[in-house]
Amino acid sequence: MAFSIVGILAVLLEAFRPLIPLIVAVVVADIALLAYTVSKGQFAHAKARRLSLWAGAAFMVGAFLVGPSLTQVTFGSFLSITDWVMLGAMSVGVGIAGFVLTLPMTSLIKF
Amino acid sequence: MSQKSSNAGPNHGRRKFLQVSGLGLAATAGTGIMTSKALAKVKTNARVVIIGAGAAGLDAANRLSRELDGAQITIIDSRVEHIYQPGLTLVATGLWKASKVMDENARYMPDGIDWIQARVIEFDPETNSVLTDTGQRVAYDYLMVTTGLQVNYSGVEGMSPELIGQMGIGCVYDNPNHATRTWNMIDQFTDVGGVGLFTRPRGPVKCAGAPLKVTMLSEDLLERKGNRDKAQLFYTPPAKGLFSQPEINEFLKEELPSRGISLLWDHPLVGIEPELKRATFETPEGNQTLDYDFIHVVPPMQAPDPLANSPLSWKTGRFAAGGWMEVDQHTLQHPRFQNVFGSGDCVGTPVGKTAASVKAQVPVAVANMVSSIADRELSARYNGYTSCPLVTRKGQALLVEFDYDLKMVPSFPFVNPYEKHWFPWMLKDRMLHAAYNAMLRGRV
Repeated sequence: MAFSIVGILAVLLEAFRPLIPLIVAVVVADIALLAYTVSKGQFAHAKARRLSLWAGAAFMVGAFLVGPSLTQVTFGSFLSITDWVMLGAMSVGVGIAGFVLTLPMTSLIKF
Repeated sequence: MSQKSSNAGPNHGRRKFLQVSGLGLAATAGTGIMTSKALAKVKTNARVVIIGAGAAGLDAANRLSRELDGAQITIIDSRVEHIYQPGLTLVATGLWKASKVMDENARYMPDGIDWIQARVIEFDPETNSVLTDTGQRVAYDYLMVTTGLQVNYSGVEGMSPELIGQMGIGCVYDNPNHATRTWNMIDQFTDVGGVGLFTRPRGPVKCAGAPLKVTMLSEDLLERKGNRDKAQLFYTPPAKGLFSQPEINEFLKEELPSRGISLLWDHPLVGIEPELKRATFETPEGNQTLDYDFIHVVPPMQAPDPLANSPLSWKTGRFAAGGWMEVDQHTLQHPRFQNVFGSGDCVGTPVGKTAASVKAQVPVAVANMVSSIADRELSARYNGYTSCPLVTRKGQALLVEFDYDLKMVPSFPFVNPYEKHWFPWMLKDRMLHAAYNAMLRGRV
């Protein structure tokens, strides 16, 4: 089965449809913070990047640990390296999202 | 049987007009000026009627409404609720709540189409019309048949849907109510144990993996409850195979016995005596009876009666017995009534009857109907793609995808389709419902 970007986005939209109001609120707040910190010339300074990296790492580890339980099972259901790699890849995705989402917030912190 | 071309019928002039407008647009697109699919709408005043608002019908309605400009699209179905049928095995085995598979058709109906809330009781392709149970005759220029199928409870003597959830009888098919009542029976059975019979009828059934999944998940539940020793499990296929795809068939022939599930070949269920908890099977050695404490009844299935009894059904060959709709297995166009297309559970094709088949069939049927309207060649082809996340235990599954040639066609090359993984389970549990909903909107 071939995949398309539109198809993948459509599936993600359906997966998160119940959370759309919350997601929109977070994204709007994030964009507002981004605009503010950019205008103040303090977006993504070194300390902010470091803090967001830690936040992203925390998101990643959290996603890795709770991933199986979100599917009603434990790590005991993992039978192959594929399962670990897929969970790892999904956790990295969550970690990157965490980094990106927290960066405008951490940029508020003074140098 | 009469032969009919796409230009025959009462609306020859209308169809000619829309073909010409379609041709003009196609020619424009051919120059490369119009490269966006959104701009490649075919102008038409055709009356397009879709029968059935299940997965295939809603997907087709959304796609047709996007790809046609000016068409009068009508969908006919009395059902207001929409059921996510791929989730019924999980409801029947206690892994999902029934509410998770309940939805409403209205959420997926595209704007600008007419929804006639009635049931079609007669197909008349000779006059390009259908008759509803409210007495309304609806004429069409093009027809998309997506009726789904009919579960024939009476095909098992002594069986009726009211028995599901009583006297040890379960049946995962048809609706969440049946699945919930089946769960009540499986929950009891896995508490106390006894003899469990898991049946599979002759002929095509929707989601052919479902009887196997119910069997393996029941065994898994016995294991998880610590009651595996209390139960004897039997799987009763109607012939000497478990699955149409050969490698998966071999896998299952090892997997089931390795878990203490006995295989009773050539055992199609033909009758039950609920009070006695006794089942009758038609075997090559004559009828045999088995007593049970729990039985998962999978009745025979066929095309809905109005379709099966219409000129649209197969009249000869392997699909005639079930009254399945005759279509070219690649273009999904009816070979005799060329303004009629079909997709989903109702069509007689060698492989299909899964939501994944719908996902692959509907874009083909719609593209070819649009091509027909535009008087272009039917270039879209369905290769028989179907898929089944074959759940073997809670948390483990095989991701089985194959085509008409029964060759594996994995979407994820890094996932070995012959090995159990958590990843396909994760897809089944968390992602495929979203993919299904996106499909209803015609987006995947």
